[in-house]
Amino acid sequence: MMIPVLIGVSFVIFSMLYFAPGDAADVILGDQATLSDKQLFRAQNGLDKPFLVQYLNYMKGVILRGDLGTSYVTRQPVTDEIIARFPTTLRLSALSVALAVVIGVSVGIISATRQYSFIDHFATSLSMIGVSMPNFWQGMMLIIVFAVWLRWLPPSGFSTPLHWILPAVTVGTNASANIMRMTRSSMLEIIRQDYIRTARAKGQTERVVIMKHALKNALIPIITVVGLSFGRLLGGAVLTESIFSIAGVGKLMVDAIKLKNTPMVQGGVLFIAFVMSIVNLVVDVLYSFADPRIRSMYTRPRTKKLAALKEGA
Amino acid sequence: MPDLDQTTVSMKNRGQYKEIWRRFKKNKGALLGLGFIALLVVCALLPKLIAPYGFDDQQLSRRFQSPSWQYPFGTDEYGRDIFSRVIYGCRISLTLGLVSVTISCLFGLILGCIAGYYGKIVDNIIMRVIDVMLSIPNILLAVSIVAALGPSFFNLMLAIGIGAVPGYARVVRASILSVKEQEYIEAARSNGAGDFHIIMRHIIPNCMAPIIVQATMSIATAILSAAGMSFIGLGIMPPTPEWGSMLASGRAYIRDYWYVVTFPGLAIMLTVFSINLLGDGLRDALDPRLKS
Repeated sequence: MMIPVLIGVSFVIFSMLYFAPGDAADVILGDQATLSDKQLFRAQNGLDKPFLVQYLNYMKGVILRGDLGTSYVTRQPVTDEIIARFPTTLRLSALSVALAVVIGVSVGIISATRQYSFIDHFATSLSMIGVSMPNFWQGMMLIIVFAVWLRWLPPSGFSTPLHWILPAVTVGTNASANIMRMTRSSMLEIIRQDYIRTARAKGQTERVVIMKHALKNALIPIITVVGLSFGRLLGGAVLTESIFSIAGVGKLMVDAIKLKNTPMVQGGVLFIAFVMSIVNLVVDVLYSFADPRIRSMYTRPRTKKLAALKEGA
Repeated sequence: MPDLDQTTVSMKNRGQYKEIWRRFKKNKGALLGLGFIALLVVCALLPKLIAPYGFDDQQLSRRFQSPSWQYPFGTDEYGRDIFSRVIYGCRISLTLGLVSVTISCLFGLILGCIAGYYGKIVDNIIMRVIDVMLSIPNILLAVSIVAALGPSFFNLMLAIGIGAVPGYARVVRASILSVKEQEYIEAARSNGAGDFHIIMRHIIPNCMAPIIVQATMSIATAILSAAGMSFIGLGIMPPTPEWGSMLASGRAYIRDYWYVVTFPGLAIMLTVFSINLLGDGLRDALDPRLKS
């Protein structure tokens, strides 16, 4: 499933950029370049070949050598540039998602267990505001308050843990709003089930009922949302990275698009799609940890075979 | 017979709308959202009556005035009244939201109908294409479309609209699958109705609730994405008073003048917030079964 999607993504992006108006040779070489310079540039980069040949050549490089082409601007391999930026983006995403899970899941549980209480109304309204705020504006407001007025935190950069706080809080609180809403609705559905009443009836403490019987069964949709936001952050924290001047993959991509650095854009989108599909794969594996029914779908054939073997022996 | 059929349907509809409105009224948040949106629509239609200054009236002697009675939200780096610019910005944001949602609704409806109704190979192909689109982050997809077509108001709406198509196609497909096997569809078919007639007259009206909710919510998302796109310089260009581009140009001054970026952002937030409230209210009112 993963491979056809990736091939599809590469084809869509490749053809979109191929048929886009504007010539890379004009943009990169500038107005001063002569016609022969431009022709040389096109020949060097294989831009004079027909569309399908270019696409197949590109894909051959990607699959055989992990080669995403050469950046027009820096003349460095695209793969190297992305790999150099990726740890920063990964760190920002991981920190933010960790924060979002802690806030989102705990507030979601509290809201669900005390439905229609003051805390619930407060938390749901807050999460609604969180979803409605432009992420980058929230970042700017945090900069104004904590960096400009209070002077507690640095306004930009991502070098020390002190620098991590503002970006991670910006992205994390925003992602937590979605996680909180999902946790709440999923928990509300589970809490009404008969087995929760049974657990209470047998005298189980409320804590165990909620944490073990309810939360465990509510996990699947929560995992889905967390995976989705993690995947999105790995490729798309573009605006936050630009607000806090963080040299991550998102900023790299936006700069590349502005300069019409086609190989970088293609490589970046393909890389992000690849990372997202890995996240989806991990999410699928986590499903089977959370739900024995899903796990049994994959393990049953083997145990059956073993049983059959034993019977035969 | 068709005449009788028509009248019973419309009578039932009238009762239904009343019932929906009755349920909607109970939700105070949704009413609040609706009220604020009405206010925004007035601002969008008649900005000249409300805004004290023009959106492009520069007064270089009055740059960066703090909020006061004369300038409720202060003035920006060219001495323009931020309040007036925010008012003029309503029209752009609302148009953008509506047009891009119309684009995505249209394509999503067509794709979702075909996939859900015909099933099998067609369904498989369309859903795989949608998987491909979903694995490109929305903002990157929009950014690459605008980069490919060139930044303009229409291209921005197109880019945001295309990005939202997969969501619609999925919603439409899912609700068609749930309706398709019902007896009344079979009855229509046994009466000799064609595919197109069945889809338009019997399937779509019965899937309207989730589609309307999705459409409302995605106006909010569209406004947010548009603000983001303008912010990175791929959306609406200054001096047009778009909220996102106001944030972008005000960004350089946040160290000294907080109000330059605070109010346009608040406008975005309140707009999106009330659209979300309205969407929540509509969801509960249109289909009480969905209420959590």
